[in-house]
Amino acid sequence: MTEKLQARDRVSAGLGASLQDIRDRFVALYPFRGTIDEYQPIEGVVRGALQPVGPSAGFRENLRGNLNIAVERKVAGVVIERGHSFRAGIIIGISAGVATALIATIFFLLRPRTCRSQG
Amino acid sequence: MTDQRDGAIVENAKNDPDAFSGIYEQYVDRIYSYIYHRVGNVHDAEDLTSRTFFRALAHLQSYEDKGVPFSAWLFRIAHNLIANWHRDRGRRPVVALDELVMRAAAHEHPEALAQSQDEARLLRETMRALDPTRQELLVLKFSEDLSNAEIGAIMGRSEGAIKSLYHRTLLALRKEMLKKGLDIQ
Repeated sequence: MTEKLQARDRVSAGLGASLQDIRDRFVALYPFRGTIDEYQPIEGVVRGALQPVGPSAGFRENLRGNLNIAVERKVAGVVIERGHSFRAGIIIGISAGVATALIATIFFLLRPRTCRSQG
Repeated sequence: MTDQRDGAIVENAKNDPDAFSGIYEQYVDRIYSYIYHRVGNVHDAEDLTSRTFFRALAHLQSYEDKGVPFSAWLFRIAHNLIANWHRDRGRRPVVALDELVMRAAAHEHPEALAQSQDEARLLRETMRALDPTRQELLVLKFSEDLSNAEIGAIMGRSEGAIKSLYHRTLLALRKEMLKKGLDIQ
């Protein structure tokens, strides 16, 4: 299910990028023809409103500490691997069970014939 | 000059992970500000800022200086995380301008402050109605003061497309603000 969703996202992203590329090319063919006077006043208003903001000192310190721990682990060569999911465990278990049953069946079918041929 | 200094910091951090703190100190405020303007609340801004730096740390070796500044690479990571955030929540981006204007106007006279708040309210309404791409462009342009080329690298578009989009966005914003009766001359 997750794989299907990821594949769908990839296809969607690919289509989106293609459409955007076409749109960009179209825009380049028909460039903007307005004058600076038309949009210059608005720049000041937007610039005044979108002032940069900073994180709190507590958050900054906390993140710095967490990154330092991550860096230490990286330096130490610790690799955190994603564990096998429950679903993967079920699939592996069923596969192993089916394989065992198949081998047992083959042995069961071949054994009597061997006995008869020996007898 | 800044690009050269950034390049040196990044190369240093590639060979010595301990030097990653230099990158963090250099960019944490800008990345946080960018994300905050795009998501509109402190909680998610902090969460996405953390994820941006952890992802940067994990993939730092894959960064190659091919003419695109390191800052654009870092903002691109944040851009992708924000896009996922909006997609997962199905939310429209919210630009939290009230607090920003309060900070910016803290030293102004009361009349000027009241006028700024009124302008901010109208501006907020108008910006919320803009396409998310246009909102992002405005944040990168005005809050982060990035060039069209850098914005293009972050948003995955050509410099010409960004320039055109920028002009059209300002005109659309101006038109809508004039409709709302805001004098921007």
